Amino acid sequence: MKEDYLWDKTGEDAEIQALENALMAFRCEETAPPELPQKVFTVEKAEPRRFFQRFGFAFAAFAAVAVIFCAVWFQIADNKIPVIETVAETTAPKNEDQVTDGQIIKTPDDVIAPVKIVQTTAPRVAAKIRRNAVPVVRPNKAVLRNIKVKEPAETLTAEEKYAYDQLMLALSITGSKLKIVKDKIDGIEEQNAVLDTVK
Amino acid sequence: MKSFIKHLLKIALLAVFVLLPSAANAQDARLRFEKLNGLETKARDVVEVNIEGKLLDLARRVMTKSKDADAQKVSQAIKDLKGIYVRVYNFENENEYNIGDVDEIRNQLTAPGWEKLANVRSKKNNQKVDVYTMFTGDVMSGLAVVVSESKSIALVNVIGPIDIDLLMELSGKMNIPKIDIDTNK
Repeated sequence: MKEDYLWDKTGEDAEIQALENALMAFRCEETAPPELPQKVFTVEKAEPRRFFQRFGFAFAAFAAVAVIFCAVWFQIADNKIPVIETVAETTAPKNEDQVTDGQIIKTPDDVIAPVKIVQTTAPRVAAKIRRNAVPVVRPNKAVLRNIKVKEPAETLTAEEKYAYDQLMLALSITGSKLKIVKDKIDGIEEQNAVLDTVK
Repeated sequence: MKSFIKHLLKIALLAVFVLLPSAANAQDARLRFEKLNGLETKARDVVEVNIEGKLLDLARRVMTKSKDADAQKVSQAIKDLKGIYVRVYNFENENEYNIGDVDEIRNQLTAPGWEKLANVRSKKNNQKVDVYTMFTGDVMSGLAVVVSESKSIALVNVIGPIDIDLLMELSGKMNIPKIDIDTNK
């Protein structure tokens, strides 16, 4: 097979020529340049939206927080948000009763009262703070003179207080009953003495 | 070896015979108030106090903690106390209780060991007051006070030694809870 025909069409190559003839219908016209299509579509390469993808959620979150903050701020400004003020009316339980100078300081009730919750509105207070100001505490000498330092009181447990109360109750009843007997006997003796003097 | 064991048994037996009466005395000072249990529903006011054992120890400890002079005296008065049992029943109307139940308790005081200290009978309000004591040697091992009136019953049973005079002297001085017990009828 002579390859010159395939390279520069010199010489003869029957097989190639047969193929050329078979494909002649698809041969382009060398004289006329290939026609370009009537319409040319130019596709612009879209820039990836990386900025939005990266900060979109952060921006949304910030916006939500900002909206909530603004709403709360305006509510506070209008004094609409209730502030829970607890007024504790609890009394010390049994085990916190104290002994001072031998006397048990009894709490008014043994039962812890429920905590009362009062809902009030908090007024908006504007306060000026001077940062450089150093607070000076001047004790009131007149008040200090009248304050007596209380000795640390000894606390009783609930069991101790119960036992003490029970014992005191028992001794009280015993003492009072014995006193009745004593008074009766003394009364009788006095009556007898009076009768003796009359006689 | 056998003779040693026999001696040991004899000593143990002797000790039991010697110690048993005193133990029995201590036990006997306790009165039984079970007969009065039904009165709780009938009475207007009921006071029931049973203080013994650990509760008494606890109360005693509180007393000793206190620096008050009267508290110290009471603490001293109840130093060897073993228990106090109190029942007080106040009724709305007269004769709401069975006097036989109280007499049953008075009968317990006729047991050997109890000695009558005072006995008061008054027609006014059918008042009957009995005070009994029990002694083990020279030491008081029990005290019983039975007060019955037409509208009330009061029973006090003290086990162990207690200074009666001191108790009467201090009654009302200490931080004793005020209770509704009729004293003057």
